[in-house]
Amino acid sequence: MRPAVVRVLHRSATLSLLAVLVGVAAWVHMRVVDTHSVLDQRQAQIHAVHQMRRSCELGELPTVDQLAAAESLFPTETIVCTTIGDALFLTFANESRDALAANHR
Amino acid sequence: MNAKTKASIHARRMSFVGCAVRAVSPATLIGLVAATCLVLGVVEQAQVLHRAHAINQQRNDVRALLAAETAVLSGRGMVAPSSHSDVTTVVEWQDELVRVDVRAPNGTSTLVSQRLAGGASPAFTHTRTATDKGVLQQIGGGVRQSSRAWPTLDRTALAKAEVASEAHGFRRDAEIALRHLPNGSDRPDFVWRANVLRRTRHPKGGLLIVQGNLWLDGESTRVLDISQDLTVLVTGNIYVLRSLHVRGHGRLLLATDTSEQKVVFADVDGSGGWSRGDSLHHGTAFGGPIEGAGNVYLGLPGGTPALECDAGILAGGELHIATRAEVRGPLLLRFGCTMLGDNAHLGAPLAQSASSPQTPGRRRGQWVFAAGRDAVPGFEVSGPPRPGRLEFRSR
Repeated sequence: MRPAVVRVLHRSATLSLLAVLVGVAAWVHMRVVDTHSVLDQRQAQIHAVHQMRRSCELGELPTVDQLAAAESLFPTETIVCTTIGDALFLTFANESRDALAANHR
Repeated sequence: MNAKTKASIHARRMSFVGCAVRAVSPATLIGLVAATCLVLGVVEQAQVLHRAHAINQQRNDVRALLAAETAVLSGRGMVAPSSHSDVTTVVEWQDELVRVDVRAPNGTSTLVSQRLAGGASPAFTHTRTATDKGVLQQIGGGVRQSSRAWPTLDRTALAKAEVASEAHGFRRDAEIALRHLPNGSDRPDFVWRANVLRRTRHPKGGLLIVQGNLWLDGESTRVLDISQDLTVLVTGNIYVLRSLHVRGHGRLLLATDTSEQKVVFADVDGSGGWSRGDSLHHGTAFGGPIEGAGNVYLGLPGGTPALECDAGILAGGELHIATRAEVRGPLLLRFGCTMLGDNAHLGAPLAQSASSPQTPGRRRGQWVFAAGRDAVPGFEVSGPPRPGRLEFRSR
């Protein structure tokens, strides 16, 4: 092969490899951005539960929407708000059926 | 000089980047780009992993908190793992505390809460509370609480409480009232000097009684570090003349007691004692100590131009403000509020929280007691027994 052809082939291969590398880097970057958005969502859910807990401590009953938002953090659990007197407790539903028994301990 | 040499002199010079690209071989160029991409990729991945780990930890904490709350409320000593959860909780009921160990695949957390005989008065759960609508308008809003529902002192706790004359950091000062008030005072005056109340020094039951007037004064801001909630109950007046910053896990409540037959008046002229024109709230004019009782002074006329108070204040008498004041805890006014001078102003409360995370060594923000989940030392509780606020002891 003539040297000029070799040079052209070499240059093409270099450019192709560079393009592949840039593509892979862009794909990795997009995945990272996606992961960040998922983490943002998770962080917002955690914040919502903390916010709801603080509201309970201030004596404000959470709304159904707030409870649903909190439940999205634990998809297999149901979160409920239980009351003893004027105190509000945020609990998982499956173990809080006999909540009032605690009053008499 | 021939034409070729001239042309080469005037030829356009190649840029630095162009030279660099031509100088390196294609393989080197690919290597450089690959290395850069690799480093950037690794850094991004590391950041994501770090963040994911932190968020996962936060989620586990929330789950531990909810599981602990659930287990405490369930009233069982041992709660088996539920069908949905891989979390096991062990509840230990102690004399004054409830301890919950939460065991999850990723580790064990321990949470504790107080065992409460009931909940504190709702008046402690608001940033501003008064018995009179007009007073609330004067201080920029708040919650009205009837006199009947006003917090009442726990006489049993009072009988057992430590008194300031024997407590660490309190000193009787015969001169301080004369330095600040034209006619001095009739009651004994105590100055609070201590900056740190360590666990061993913390008064039993979290209640301390000052039989006289309490002065918070000094050259600079008073910084108090307390590990548990503390109520300082004063039988006379409270004079806060310097900023008071509270650090540590505990919350401080300054309260004046007017439950006994005492003379309570609004010191309209700011003289520090009863004088013509002052407004009488309770008792007869004029018997008893000249400075009255139950009053709280945030600054005195001619004193510091501004002060911040991290403590909650329960004024059994009148609140007097003679400075630009900020109160970060619950402010409860039994009677009224008197502004002394043009500079007098009470700052609006910030967004409050009952359990904002407290970093050691840092000041607490605006706070109130949690509704039904806190007991206020020295004050009666009502309602059925319940666990208090759960807090992490270890993660």
